Amino acid sequence: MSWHGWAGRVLRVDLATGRISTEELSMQKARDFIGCRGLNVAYLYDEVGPEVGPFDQGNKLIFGAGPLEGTPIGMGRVSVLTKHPNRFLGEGGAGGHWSAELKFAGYDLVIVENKAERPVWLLIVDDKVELRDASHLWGRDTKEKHAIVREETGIAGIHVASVGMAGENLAANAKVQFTLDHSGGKGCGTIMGDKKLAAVAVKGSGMVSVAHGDRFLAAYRNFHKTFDLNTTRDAFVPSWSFNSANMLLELFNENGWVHAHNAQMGLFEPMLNDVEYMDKYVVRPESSFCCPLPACGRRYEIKEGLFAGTTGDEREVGFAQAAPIVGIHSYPHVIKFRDMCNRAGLDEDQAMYSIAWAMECYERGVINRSDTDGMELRFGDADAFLTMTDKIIRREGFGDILALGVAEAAKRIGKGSERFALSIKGKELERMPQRNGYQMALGLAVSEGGPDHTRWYPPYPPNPKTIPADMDLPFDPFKAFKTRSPDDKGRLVRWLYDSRAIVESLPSCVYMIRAMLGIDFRPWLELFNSCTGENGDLDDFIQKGTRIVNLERAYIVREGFRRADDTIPRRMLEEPVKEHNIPPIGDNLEIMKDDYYQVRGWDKETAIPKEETLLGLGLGNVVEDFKRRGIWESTEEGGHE
Amino acid sequence: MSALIKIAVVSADLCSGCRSCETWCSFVLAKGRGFRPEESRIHIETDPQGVLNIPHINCLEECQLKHEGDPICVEMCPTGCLIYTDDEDLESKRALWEQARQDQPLFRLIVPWKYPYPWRPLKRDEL
Amino acid sequence: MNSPQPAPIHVFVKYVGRIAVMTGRVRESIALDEPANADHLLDVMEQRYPGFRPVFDPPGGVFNLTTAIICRRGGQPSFSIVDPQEPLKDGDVLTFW
Repeated sequence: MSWHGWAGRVLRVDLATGRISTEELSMQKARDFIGCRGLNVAYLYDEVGPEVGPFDQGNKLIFGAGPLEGTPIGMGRVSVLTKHPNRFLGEGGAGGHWSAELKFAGYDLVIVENKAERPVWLLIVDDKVELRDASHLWGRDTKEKHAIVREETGIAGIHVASVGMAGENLAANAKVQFTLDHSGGKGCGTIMGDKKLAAVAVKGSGMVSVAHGDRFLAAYRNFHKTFDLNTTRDAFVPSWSFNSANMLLELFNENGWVHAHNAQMGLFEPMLNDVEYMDKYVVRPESSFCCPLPACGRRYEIKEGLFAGTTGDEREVGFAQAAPIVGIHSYPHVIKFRDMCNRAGLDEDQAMYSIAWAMECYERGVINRSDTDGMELRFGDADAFLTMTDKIIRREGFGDILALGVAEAAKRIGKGSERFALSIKGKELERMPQRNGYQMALGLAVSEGGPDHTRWYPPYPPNPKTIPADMDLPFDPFKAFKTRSPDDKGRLVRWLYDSRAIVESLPSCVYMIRAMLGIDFRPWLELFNSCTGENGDLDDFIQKGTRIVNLERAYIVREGFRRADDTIPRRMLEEPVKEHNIPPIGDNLEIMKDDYYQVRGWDKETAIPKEETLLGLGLGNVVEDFKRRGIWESTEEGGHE
Repeated sequence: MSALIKIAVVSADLCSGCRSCETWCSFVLAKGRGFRPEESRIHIETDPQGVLNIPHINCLEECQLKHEGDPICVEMCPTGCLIYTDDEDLESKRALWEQARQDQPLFRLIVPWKYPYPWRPLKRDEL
Repeated sequence: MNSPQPAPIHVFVKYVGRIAVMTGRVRESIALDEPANADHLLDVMEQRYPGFRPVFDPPGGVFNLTTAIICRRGGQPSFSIVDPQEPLKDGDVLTFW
């Protein structure tokens, strides 16, 4: 059997014994779960059960490329997966070139097992794979690690995934940091640090095979029209192409979406301005592998003044949104914050929401200088924000508590501070609106991977006037996209989850889900079929997404997560956005969850997938597993928060 | 005799390092059987400090996959860094780009002739 | 019938992304005669920035097909202006993107 798209090989690395092996990818798994995010969870489900604790030897760290990675659709997207320290799926995607190189080297997945006694790093150059001593890398920041690896190997085009000081110090949600400041995988950096794996460097020279080249080219050109500035019909594309998420600053502000002062306010003045950023700091474009946008990724540089010399790459994060959360207005400070997080592999959301929580606690008198190492910790103090970020990275003083994550920190501090800890499943929130976007509130609540908008993004319709009248949508677009109504959110969010799971498994970038590509999956199917030589139909294709999400749910159910864990912070449920007169969500979240579990075929009381649902998706192995473990009989109520 | 038309680089400052050109070139060379940038006739060299991406073009033949007159590497270049033209036109376009990027920071990221919307110089004193 | 004396209203306008590239600035205050609507505002824009109107209101096309105008008014939830006849009020904050 020859593979097209998929490389057909899985690389296994046992850090305890140093054993490196390759095995054939299971074709059945590949067909059922596509690749990348989907295949990762298929392997993790089989290999890391609930008896394995996150910091046990048995936890694994999986890097996944997918069948379309290495083609221009893949865009360097990698999915990293592990059992998160909070036991949900520590999953995250990142762009760049790393994943494309992995495919050119001839691997679909890298599964890292057990722990090393001393720091090591992994070098993959085609068939040459070796573990090397990393004592000289340990303790260095991620950019230094990349530079040393590049110099040591002498390979200029090598791409590196590494862990920074946040991961080495086991900060709760540390991420894996890829070359060019791409990062992802909340908690994966923590587990990578725990396994003492400093870096994984990869360079490949092989081919990613395409089954039907002419069809693939035609499908790509069709796809490309959505992003061609001359032909796009999506308002986001032209602005996103150059400003990426920084363009959202004003839009979030105007819609009451910003989480200013730890989401106590929905309007922040003066909001930082994306044009000022572009003019003062952007130097040139810097993109992921084959990204069709001119400059969603940009190289920035602070040329003069405060923090002069700070430089790096940025793209979709809209990192200036950190500013309102802690109440600051200074670009140099948010740029420096970003650089510190990238060098340390520290999750920005963990840092900003933890510090914002601490600022709110301080202003309310819940904590005082004796808790904060003598620091004044007030909203708007940009220097204090950076100082505390550094303390988290180094786990010094109060930073040692914040490094546990905001939910755990609030538990330690107590005194009602839990109320201000904005987290979901114990992981800090991300900058996504909830009270003025019910589909987003539901999307965040039911995520199997903690708050992660890429699992359901974008949650907006294309202009309804562009939707063909005969298009058969699995939801009512006029009801479902209404932002402050619970109507039809179950079917919408199910569709968003299933379809985005496909895109993240091919993989491609979620920011490619624009215009009709968000609701019409025939173009994606043709790309997949023409590349891999598969010939399934659209229903079969969408079902793969449904299967992936159900397996992810089964994974966290097996870890003890239940309906009660699918929630959002109390602030969003109980407090209005005063500045825009937007009411709290209240009971609407539970109404939407009822709806969602029902359309999913999950039990409403427990959020556990029903036997017939799993069987209908070909997940008989999960059914057997659930029966053996008595999952359906258990009376566990969750409560991981 | 007409001037020589070739694939040229407007400026390395405009190269995003996306490697679309490499990747698609390799697709043509492999006759559509797959993607293998290693075998491409264009290579993007990234200097170790990551300050620049530098396209190296080693192509002496007519591209077998042209679109509206452009070879596929030029067609797929998102910023307009690659151009298919003669020396004279290249120089005049470079001058145009140099002026545009003084006026509007957006043109640090794309060439003005690929930007289809109206634009005006940025009033920096109002930021 | 006497028509009422036109009185100026002021709206605050923000430009986001490629719209700011078109105007060369990011925000300004604009005076309009009462009664004012989105169409009148676009007339003013077109005078100041030739080529502005067709981006939001393409000839023979659909208003705001590939662009959008958000209106924030008096501390109420913001809404998108989808009709050129939408009345504007003094103090409206309009974001073009």
